[in-house]
Amino acid sequence: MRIELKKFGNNLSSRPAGKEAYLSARAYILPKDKNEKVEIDFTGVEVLTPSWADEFLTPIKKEFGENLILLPSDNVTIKSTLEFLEEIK
Amino acid sequence: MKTETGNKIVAYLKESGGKTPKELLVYTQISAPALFRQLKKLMARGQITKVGKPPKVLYYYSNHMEPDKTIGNEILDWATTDDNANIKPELLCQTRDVFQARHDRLLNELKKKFNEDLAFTVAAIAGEIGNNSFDHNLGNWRDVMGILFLVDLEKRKIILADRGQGVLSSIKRVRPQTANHADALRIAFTEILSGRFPEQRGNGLKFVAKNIRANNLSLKFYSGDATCEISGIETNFKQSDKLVPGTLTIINF
Repeated sequence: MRIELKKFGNNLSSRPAGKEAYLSARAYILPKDKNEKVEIDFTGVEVLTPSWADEFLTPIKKEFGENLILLPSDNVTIKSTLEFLEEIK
Repeated sequence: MKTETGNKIVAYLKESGGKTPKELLVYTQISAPALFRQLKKLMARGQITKVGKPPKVLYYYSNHMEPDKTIGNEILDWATTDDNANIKPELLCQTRDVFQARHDRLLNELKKKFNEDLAFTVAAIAGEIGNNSFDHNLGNWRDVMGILFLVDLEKRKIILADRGQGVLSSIKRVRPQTANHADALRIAFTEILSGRFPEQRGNGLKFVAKNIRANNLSLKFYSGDATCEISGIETNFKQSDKLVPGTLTIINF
């Protein structure tokens, strides 16, 4: 399945907003089967910070592991945030 | 003749916003070496600013050299002494909701004036710093709740300040041996903090530093009696003559 992050907003910057988005996704969007692939589509997102991404992507990564697929993006803040999260793991 | 070319470039950038070297070559009709000599001189005088690194470089008009005695001074007073006599009420974001609304507006304003890469990067940096204040001080503000958030797009400056517990207090929770404010800033800006205490917080300033350097911006961050200054690729930690109990950040872009 594919999650379009722009449906959570174009400016994704705070921890509480990231956490709220994750809880909503877990309840209503994410598949129950952890073997299903989950694609994250960043199209339409303008600002992504490590705080928001850590609250949203980190728990999904823990649950779905290699089945979490981050689709490519040219946005500077998305690229920088994803690189940064990799660095601090 | 050379001065005329310099003035022409400054006037063009002031009127039209960011331009690439290629666009400036077309506009000035001079050779590339002559253009880069001019740009170097103008940057040395503080009349223009270079943002980004090759192949994505833009030059902007900069009025850092113009008289600027008041911008931010009232926030500095507030950050150091709690003197809010000169603070406009609209600068204070008491809650995160208010900050988020103003941050959304900042993003829209930045998009109108600057290229997308710069607009998104500056918004991400300001968002990370402003939200950090709420993440680390919620329910634990020193006296005034919330943050001051000043945006001046003409002077290409953003100032954020809080009357929270400061960086040393946060860092000591994960590194109890941290001796002083300067050490705390050095850790916050350069070392990856692992483990969850209770969450993986405390790494946001490294993201800020990385993006300030990558985009050739500048930042001055005060906490306690220490400062961290990042300009281009240089990062310096210094003792400050000001005591800022919470934090104060000045971003120039």
